[in-house]
Amino acid sequence: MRIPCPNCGSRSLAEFSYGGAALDRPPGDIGPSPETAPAWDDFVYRRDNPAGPLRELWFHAAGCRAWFVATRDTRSLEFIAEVTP
Amino acid sequence: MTGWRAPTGGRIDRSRTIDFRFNGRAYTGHDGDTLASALLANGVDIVARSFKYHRPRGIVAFGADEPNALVEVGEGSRRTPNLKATQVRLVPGLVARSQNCWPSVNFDIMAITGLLAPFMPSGFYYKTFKWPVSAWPFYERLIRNAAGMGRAPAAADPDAYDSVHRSVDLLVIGGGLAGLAAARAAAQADAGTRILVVDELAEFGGLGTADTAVVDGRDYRDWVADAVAALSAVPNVTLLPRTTAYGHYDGNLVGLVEECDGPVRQRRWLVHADRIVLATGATERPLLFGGNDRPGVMLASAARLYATRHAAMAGRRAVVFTSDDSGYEAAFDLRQAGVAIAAIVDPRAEVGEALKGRCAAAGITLLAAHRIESSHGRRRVSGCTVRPIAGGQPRRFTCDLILTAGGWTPAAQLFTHAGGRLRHDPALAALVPDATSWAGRASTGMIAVGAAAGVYDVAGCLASGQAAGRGEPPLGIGGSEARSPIVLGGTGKCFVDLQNDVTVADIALAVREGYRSIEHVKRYTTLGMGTDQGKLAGLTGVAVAAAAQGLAPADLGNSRPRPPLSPVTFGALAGPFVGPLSSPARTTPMHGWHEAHGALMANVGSWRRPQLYRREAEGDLEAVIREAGNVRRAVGLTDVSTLGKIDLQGPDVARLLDHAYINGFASLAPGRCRYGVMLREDGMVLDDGTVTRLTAERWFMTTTTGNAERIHAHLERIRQIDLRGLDVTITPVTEQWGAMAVAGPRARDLLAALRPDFAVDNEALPFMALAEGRIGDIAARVLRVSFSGERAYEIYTAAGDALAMWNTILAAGTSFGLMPYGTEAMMTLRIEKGLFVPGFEADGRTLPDDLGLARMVSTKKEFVGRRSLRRPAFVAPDRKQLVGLMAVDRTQAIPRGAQIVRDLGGAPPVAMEGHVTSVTYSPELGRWIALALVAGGRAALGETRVAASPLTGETVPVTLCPPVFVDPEGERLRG
Ligand SMILES: [Zn+2]
Repeated sequence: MRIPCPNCGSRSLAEFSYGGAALDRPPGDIGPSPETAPAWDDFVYRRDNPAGPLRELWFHAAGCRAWFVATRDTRSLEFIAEVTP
Repeated sequence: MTGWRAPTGGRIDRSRTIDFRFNGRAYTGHDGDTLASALLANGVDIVARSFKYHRPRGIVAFGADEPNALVEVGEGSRRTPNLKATQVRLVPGLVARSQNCWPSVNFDIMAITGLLAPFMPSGFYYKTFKWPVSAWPFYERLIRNAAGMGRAPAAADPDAYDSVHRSVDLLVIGGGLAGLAAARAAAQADAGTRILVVDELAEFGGLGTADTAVVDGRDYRDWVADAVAALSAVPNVTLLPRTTAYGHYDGNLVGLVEECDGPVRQRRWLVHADRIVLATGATERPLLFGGNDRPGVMLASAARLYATRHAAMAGRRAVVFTSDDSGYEAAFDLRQAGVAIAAIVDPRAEVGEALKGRCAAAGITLLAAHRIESSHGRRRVSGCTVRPIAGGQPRRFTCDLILTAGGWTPAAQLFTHAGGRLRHDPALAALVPDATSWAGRASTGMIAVGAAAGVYDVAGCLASGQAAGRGEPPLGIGGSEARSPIVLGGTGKCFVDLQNDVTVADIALAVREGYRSIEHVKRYTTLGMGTDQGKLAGLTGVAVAAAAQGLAPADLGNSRPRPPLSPVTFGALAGPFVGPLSSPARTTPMHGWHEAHGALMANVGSWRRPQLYRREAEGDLEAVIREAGNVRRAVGLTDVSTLGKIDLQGPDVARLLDHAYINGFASLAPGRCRYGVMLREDGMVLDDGTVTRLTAERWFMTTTTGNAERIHAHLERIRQIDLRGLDVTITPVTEQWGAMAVAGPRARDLLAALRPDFAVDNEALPFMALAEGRIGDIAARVLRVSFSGERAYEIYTAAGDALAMWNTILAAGTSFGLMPYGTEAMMTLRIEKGLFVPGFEADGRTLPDDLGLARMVSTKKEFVGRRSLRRPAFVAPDRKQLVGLMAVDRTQAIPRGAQIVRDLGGAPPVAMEGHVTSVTYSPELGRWIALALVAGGRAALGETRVAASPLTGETVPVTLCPPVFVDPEGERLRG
């Protein structure tokens, strides 16, 4: 499998580490609140496992060391959208 | 013994005779032979015994679809099992042996199981060998011995294997007419196109087109020679003969194995291709009749190829059973080569006038609307019974060869590996690649051309190959008229899968027992699950299973072939990465010294580290006790170069660290170190280490050995994603620094004796402080930190200086009682101090509070994992907490990995309250101690539990105690 790094272009999977779904970290105020706890639990535990496009984070560990977001179709393992650094 | 060699013809070099041995007997062949063609020419008709019934079997096919002639080639450490005789090139001195026979092919004691055949129906293994489970190892050995699965060599492989990665614009798999046409068209369109053409045979040209066919107005042989010459002249084109593509993977990665001569035996290629053209040809389907497995029954195309390529004749007198016009061509060619044709039997009512005329001209008996019902013969075919399709009187023919031609199936197995689909084409009566499979996929896909796409005529192969080579969409194929019906049945055993001994009756029984899906029928009957991957059996099996359910084959679908297409040796997969290269070990600058001084080395993550230093007449445990005790009494030296080291620079480092660690770093003054703990977002402890502020904007972090890469990625993620905009530069410098720890009550005296150009007294260099300067002529960074609980210093130098520093310290240390110590003593010392380690105590399920770190957790800032810590389950009082354990009987050891239970009374299952995480003998306490995670452990200190190890049968009463066994006030490390 090849992954499109925004800096280095298409490179082998072996050069990357996986960072999971690219979810926005819920805004962090000091202390948990009833309003933010469900959002936090969703962020940490209740993640979707879609059969289809998934925005996810990749780290080009053996390359430029950039974390970037790429969209991959989990059914075909095809990278289907432009990556955003 | 009826095979023979024609005196002329074929592409063999009769001037070069090759001696070889098969099943212990000496034979001769010629350069250009395969093992199969040489065996045929020598009249060897039985090459194997069948898998289940041990029936005699002969050579059936010409290439990779051969189901019977499985052989082991070579001897001793070079013995290779599971090769097909049809694919083994004859070389001088070749030694081969039938795989499926014991004690010999001609007298097979297991043939007695043939008498049991009625009692070995489908699912036999499922039903018979299922119970009792305890007997499985016995059954498995029995089956494997009887089944002749091939023997792996016992000795190490002496040969070298190579591994190549390649990216190309176009990969053409199959160098026949269509494949060569594709490559030529691509090269002509753009000479810069990087093209790789592979073919499993030594010569390009493929098997599907006769030498005498006319292509572009020339004989095919000449056309091939031109194409190969033209392609060889293009610098960007690589032609790889004797190379098999075994798998197609996502992102158009294709695995190839190249057979080599010389020092490298096989070369594995991993090829990334922008475009792939699949030109793998087609496989001839057999026709079924009773006793269709008897030696002497063969594919018509195979007999024709053996005759035309190798002048090897499979028999003297043949009956040709064909439902496809190609069977007639085979008959005419064989007759030309000297094989008498007793009859052509065609189940079709209508036979073309031209074919009828040619049969008549050649004096060949043609029986249309007839079928072969059964074969006869003891060791091999001696005749057959033919009957009209509509019924009626049978006719018997005497023959030593029955050739079947049931039409063609595209050899498109590779098409399905990465998600391509096959569709049933009624006009071709075959499964063909579905060109729509790859819709919406930009990086994976292939275009099938020629016979692999169901295109069987010369003009069509040429056109489909050229179109694909130019990057045009695939041409439409298939007509409207249904043809080549698959003929089923006969009297006696009709074999669908010759390699796995699956008959028509077996499949019908599976269907009667409720197996419907072809994937289930396949697994239940083992249809198509042999090393030939059902190349011959696949479609016929589908047709039989469909008929048994009253369905059309198209309605049943097909089982999906998966990689590898053909067996791949472990040698090819491993390539050169064996022995020390199999998992490259990282070594520290002091590695050579460790090895020269009795170190017992162990793998720690990717590193090699000394566990302990052995001395004469000393057991390993004694060595650990000596090394650890010496640190507590005098001073020790240990190599900590493997610690992860990260250099951090910029005005915003403190903000980054505050987000990464549970404790705060903004207040850390230059020249000081601080211990820190990191969490994952789910609140679990990720890692620990120290951070030293070198100057206002330059920091130095250490991580645990195994987590260096993970923490680097983690910090970059915080910098680039969570807190975008921080001005921080993160540089991993693990390899740039060598490091060693000097620990023990005399550590400071020793450090002073090294005459550093900086002060080392407790005022100038207190606990958790930094000193930088020179020790002798070596620049060093000294951190007063301790992982042993003793007064200790970590000394960092440039990696190139580390060994010199190590030796300097050793030389100066003699008068202080210095000894080196390894990772085992380091573990002993940290367990005595109750210090947790990721992987042992911090096992991915432990929170800071579980480890007694609650007071470290800042409440004044946001950090990774903070908001998980207040989840209700994470503040429950019965969480497993870190405690120390001492055996009640101080002479007893505590079993490693033991479960903690309340007592030994009561009936199982017993509630497990925790588990032992680390065990050591404590030289300081003179007894065994342990760290454990125990539910509600901190509230139960002083109570007794039982450490129970079901693995060893030990049950040891233990007392729960605080985890810090030595110097709980920390006076030693601060003093
Ligand atoms: Zn990159």
